[in-house]
Amino acid sequence: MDTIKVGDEFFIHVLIKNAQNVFGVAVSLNYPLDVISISTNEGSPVITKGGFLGEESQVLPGLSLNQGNNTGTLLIGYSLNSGGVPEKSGEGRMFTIKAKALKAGSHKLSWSTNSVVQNSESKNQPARFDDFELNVENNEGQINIVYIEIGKTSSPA
Amino acid sequence: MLIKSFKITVFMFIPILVGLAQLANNRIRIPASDTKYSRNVTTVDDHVALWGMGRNRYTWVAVPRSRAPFTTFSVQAEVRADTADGHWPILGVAFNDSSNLKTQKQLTSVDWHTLSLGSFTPGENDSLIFFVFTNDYYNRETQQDLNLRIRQIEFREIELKPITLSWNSNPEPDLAGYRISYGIQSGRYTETLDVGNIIKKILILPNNSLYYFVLTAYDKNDNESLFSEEVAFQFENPPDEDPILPPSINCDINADGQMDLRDWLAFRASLHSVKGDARFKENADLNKDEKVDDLDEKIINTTCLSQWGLTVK
Repeated sequence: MDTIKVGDEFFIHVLIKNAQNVFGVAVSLNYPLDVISISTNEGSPVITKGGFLGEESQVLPGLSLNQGNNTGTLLIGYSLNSGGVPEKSGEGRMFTIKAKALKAGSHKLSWSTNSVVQNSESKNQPARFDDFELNVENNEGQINIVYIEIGKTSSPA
Repeated sequence: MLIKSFKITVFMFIPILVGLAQLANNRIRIPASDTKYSRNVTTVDDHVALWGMGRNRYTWVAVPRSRAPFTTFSVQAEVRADTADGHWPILGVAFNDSSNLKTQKQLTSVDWHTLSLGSFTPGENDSLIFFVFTNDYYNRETQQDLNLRIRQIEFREIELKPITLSWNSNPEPDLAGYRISYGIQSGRYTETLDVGNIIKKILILPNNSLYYFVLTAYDKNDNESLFSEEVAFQFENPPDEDPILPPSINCDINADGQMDLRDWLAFRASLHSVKGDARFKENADLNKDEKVDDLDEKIINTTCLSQWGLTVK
């Protein structure tokens, strides 16, 4: 994994592995507000969809900030355009989050327990969401890349 | 071109158009026995009974338009239902032709009660006001049927008042104009006005309802933006009458009792579905037009995203 430094903008690539019959995902990523900020464009989180669901798909981002307990929650929906589009299986990149490192140290990014992978019948598919340890160093640097995985049998990145 | 959404504001505009306001709270009450009847309607004591006579048949009473000489009025009827097997009769309002229903309301009580049927502005050529009982139930085996009874009908004049809507202009160079959509139910807009390239519009509306407005912008190629955020407006002094409460949009698409992104997934799975058996297709049909399409997605964007904890600009 590349090192991230304070002040860096970096990308979080969310991957899926060993997927079967996926229509879409609804996930919430919790993060400490003093450690990273999610990059936004006109108020919307900058989320780029990956190739796993193909062109006939859409990403829906949202952001919830709780200054009281220093927690931000990034909400992301990513689905095929309709139930008529064939479900996807296999592995690939779901979407990419753009963020900025604010504070040095080792920090945990965790998925909310209500995160789900669903098929086109709106039924949850078995999935494990791997939390991620983010290491930020106290220096200036360049854009870096980290990976987070969603998968039935995958290991943490 | 994708035109960004923008905010609109709404406020009352009093000084110029106050002269258009009409006398408020004039009422005319008509005994149901003093109306015109269709077949299968009879006078019983102090009311009239509209008999079911089997499924998919309807009966009516009618009032000449001249007996309710108001430009805009609300209508209430004192009614009670004869119910069967958990089914309830439905009463509608129509003008000129009894099949031209403007609204329908279901009765829910066997006791006499007041049923608000809505607000109306009949056209110049509308000479009859029909109160139509639509019977959608009949049990052949038990011969159980529905009946509806009406004791009296009341018309209340509604004052018209001006509302001014204004909004921030869209800066895109090929902007061609704006469209205002509004209605009395959140997310369901029954009226749309193309107002051209202006940033303020005065509407004259009955003052007895809560109104919901949204705005779209369109460019010279008629690409249209998403709805703006919805704005609700209630006149300060609504008339003294039973409130007409619009049913709210239910954003719990997957019916799990929670409002979250899983509802969005359930909606997406129903959108343009060719399977025809999407689990939550009925819930996803927010405007109840028998299909889940872009119009429902607009309602999602204006009404549900915030309830799911999402705000998208």
